[in-house]
Amino acid sequence: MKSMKMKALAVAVLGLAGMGSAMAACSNTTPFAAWSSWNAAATTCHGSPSTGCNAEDKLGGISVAADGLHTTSCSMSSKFTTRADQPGGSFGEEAGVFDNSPQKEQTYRFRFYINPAAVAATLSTANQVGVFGAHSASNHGATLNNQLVQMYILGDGTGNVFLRTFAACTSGDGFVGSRCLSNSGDVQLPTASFATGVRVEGQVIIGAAGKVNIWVGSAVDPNTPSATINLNNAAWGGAGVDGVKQAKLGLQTSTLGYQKNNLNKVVLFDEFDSRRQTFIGP
Amino acid sequence: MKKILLASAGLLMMLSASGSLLAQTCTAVSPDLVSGSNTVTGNTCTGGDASIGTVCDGNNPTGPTIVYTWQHGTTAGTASGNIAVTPTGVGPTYNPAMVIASGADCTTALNAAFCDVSVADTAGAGAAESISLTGLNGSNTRYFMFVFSLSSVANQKCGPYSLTVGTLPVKLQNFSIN
Repeated sequence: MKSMKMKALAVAVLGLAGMGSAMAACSNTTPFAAWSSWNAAATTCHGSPSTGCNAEDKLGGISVAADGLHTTSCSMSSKFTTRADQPGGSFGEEAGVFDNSPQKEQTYRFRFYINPAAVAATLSTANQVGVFGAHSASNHGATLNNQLVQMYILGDGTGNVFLRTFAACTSGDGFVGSRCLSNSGDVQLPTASFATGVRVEGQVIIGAAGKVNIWVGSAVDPNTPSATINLNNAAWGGAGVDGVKQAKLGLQTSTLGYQKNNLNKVVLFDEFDSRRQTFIGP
Repeated sequence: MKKILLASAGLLMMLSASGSLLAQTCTAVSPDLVSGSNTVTGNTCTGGDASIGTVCDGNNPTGPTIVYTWQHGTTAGTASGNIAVTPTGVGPTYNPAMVIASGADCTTALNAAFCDVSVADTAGAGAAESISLTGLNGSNTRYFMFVFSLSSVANQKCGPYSLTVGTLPVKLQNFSIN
């Protein structure tokens, strides 16, 4: 049903040049044009003005087109460099794109593919980085935040990569700092799938009996998520009041340890899709 | 219409880019930590602050946080040794992590962009974690140590512990001449 599908940016944006060409090199010069944050005005860029940039470049991150994941030709190559706009430079903080098309959604599904192979060895609890956020328009909660979903990748020091998801809440599983965590812990990203991309899918349901579901890799049963966070996130929603207003894909909200240890190391993102209701899948 | 959309987008981008966790407050344990001989005990499960969302350097605690503080004197001294947090109890599972930050008060230190000593979190569940005091030589500076966990495993997020303190060049509290 068309009305149930909010936005499918994958083909329109990241996989634009990838139709039927699994391993072709990316040749799309404006791969992020459909994203809200896209700004091709080189004068505002500090990262990659020759290839265009987005608002995040001003924070010492670079997002450029790269060869694709999941059989597409183009993906987003995201990395931290040093901030050229600060004396002496400081470590980059964000490298990603925004989708501002959500309209304070009360239910929201999203999916993307990620290849963290280049940073896997250095990831740890102290060296972690955000990779996706679904944010409300305003901050809420006793410890104010807008992070209806904030996903991080971290590691165990041996190359294994795990997905950790915080979700805004006033109470619920693993409550701390007005955010909740799944009682089942982090979800491992299958190493064997790094090269072609690991699928990460999520669902946000806002309400007093709210829920955040997460599917990773081969988890394709809509009724069997890889992890669930049961929570009360009603304060972040309400029809016409607030809800998911922005999706943010790419490197973000990292620890200083990550910034120091992963300068110029690329994480690839691809195949972003978002919807109100229907399960997305691979 | 397009201008409205872009203005709205810009506002949202600033909101996210400037950090979305705001207005955190915290309270440090009283009295101040002192050097050496005393042993301090705590339990982040029962005495921790669950309102703390992000600690300096971008660390995201997975359980409650306890904060300790001490004040250096107007003449800079030399801090040395370590502060160690050792999980206690029968078969301890708590997986502690610590950072040290400075500021006029607990909230300022908590929300500092950078810690004075970056996170210590290498020892794993049930094992002692240690953070070095070397280099904390600021004069007339108040330091705060945040004890929390970065583990998402349920029984590792908080727990009881004992704390031992190295050498702190603390502020002279009072004196008298006889």
